[in-house]
Amino acid sequence: MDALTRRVRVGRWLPGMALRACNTVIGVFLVAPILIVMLSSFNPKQYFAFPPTGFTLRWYAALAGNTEIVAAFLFSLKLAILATTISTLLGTAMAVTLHRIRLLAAETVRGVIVAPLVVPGVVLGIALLLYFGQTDAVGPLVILLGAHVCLTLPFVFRIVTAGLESADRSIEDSAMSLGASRTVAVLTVTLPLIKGSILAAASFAFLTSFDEVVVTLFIAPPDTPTLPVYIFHYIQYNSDTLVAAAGTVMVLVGSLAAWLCSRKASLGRLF
Amino acid sequence: MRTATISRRQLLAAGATTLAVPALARTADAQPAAADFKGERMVVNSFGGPFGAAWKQHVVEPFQNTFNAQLAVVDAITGEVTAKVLASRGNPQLDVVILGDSGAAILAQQGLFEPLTEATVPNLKELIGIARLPGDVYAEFLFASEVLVYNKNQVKDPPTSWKDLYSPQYKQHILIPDLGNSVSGPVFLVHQAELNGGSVTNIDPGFEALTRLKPNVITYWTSMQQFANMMSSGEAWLGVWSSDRAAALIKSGAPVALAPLQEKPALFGNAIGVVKNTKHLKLAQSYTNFVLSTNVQSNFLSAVMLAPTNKNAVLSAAAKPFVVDPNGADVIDWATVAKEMPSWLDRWNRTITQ
Repeated sequence: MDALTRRVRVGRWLPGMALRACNTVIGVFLVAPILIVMLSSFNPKQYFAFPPTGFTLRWYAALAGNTEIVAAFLFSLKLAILATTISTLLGTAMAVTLHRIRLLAAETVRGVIVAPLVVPGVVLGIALLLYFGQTDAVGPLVILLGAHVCLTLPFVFRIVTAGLESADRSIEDSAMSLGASRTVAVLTVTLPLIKGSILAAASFAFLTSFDEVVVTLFIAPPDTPTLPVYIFHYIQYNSDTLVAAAGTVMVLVGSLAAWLCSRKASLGRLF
Repeated sequence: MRTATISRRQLLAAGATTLAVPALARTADAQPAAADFKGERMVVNSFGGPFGAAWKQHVVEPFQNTFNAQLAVVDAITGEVTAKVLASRGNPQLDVVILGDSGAAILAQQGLFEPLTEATVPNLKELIGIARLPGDVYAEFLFASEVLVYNKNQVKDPPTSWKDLYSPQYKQHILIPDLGNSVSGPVFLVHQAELNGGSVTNIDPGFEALTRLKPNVITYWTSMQQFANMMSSGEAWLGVWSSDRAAALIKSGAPVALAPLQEKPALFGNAIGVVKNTKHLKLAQSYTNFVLSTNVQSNFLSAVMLAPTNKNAVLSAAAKPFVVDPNGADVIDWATVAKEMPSWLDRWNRTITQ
């Protein structure tokens, strides 16, 4: 084998190897901290330590026995489900409408819908606080739900719009040419075509709401905090292994939502 | 010297803690006959976490029972409380707030507290001098102190002075609070200024000291969790922290301990204040008075291991080793800190963390 052939061969496999190595490093960098938290949650030591020196499930038992954490978890779950339902319905309706009708100001409307993605959480939190701080007309729970809908709507809108763009519009047109009204065509043809996108959108919305902490900190209603806010305040005082267990439960809930979604929709196609 | 009366009180308090009797006496010192608020509801804050749980047990529940009132509790720490009160001026969403000195000074500057008086909050008379402010605009209900914590596996010969922080043996191994930490940061800076001949109004010696300290610093910590993790793992050997957090970490079994310091401690308080324009003024004053009462202070502050401001309050034997006696100690002028902080932060970013 002459030197040139060898160089060409190396030139072929080297970029692939480099890319794989690079991806591995990025993967480890992203996943390692989460794994460390999960492994630490089984540590019998009361303070947060890694590597674990033994194995115990006592922190999970303590978690289940802590009424405040359980209440916070259930509240977060309810809030996320409610916010997801509203933003999925609204976001899908908006995406379908803006995709079908020609609107002069369509770009502006799109910009407004996705604005909460661009505005930093702290700014949005302060803005909501200032705005609703002047009135008692709206209850704190409604403000919190409204804020979570605001934060999750952009994800639904973007993902469903992407789904609509990749769906074959001629099928909907065929349905209409065969006598279906626009409403019937959208409900029976378009929506089933993009149901994968809608499901992906809903799981993103759920995860966004379930994990949200910055905006919620400013507008949290009295008596029951959300789980992320509870954990945020908890670690101001204690850094025990209970937090690692609570964090692991949150990761599992998130992974479950992502797994359910990946079974029904190809996430890779959406971005 | 402590008197026999105080020893008896200490004995009683220690006994009560051992027997785990959470019940509060219905009539706290200087507490007017418990009023019946007929289920009136107001909103207060707590700090959440273990502090919040103790607050609920020793403050919220007994107050609700004794005064027939409803307390809605929002979990919010200093920065959040300050933002909430500033944002809802004129139509307060919180009626009574507890917060760190740094936030209380800002709210006081903005005139957002309804001043307390001895007539409306009689327990003010029982507070130690440094817990009261000019005009009783708010009051301190607890004190924490700045402590030096070390990892027992790494440091065999514990430091005895703040000066030891500068020793070359700790090169790249100490944790210092970032000035951005609303309380610990400025307390450390001002304290270092004082130890080097400066003061809150002459901060240069503080900055000069911290510049000299730079080679020893591994990290300027920004969260309690970060400090706890680095100190218990041994990555950091020595660090400047807050007494109550150190107590919790030591009690959890981490290999850390408090350095026995010769110098007088730097204290920082947590304030309680009635928010201006509250629609529940009487209830808010009763609640503030309740928080400052001997019994509540003894029980609650024993649970969270912080120093009381009511001079008759007595801590449990378990809490005492972690709590500095605030009598005779100095406190920082937080009004000056609030004014100077923007320029300090600028200088900090340019000269220390750069």
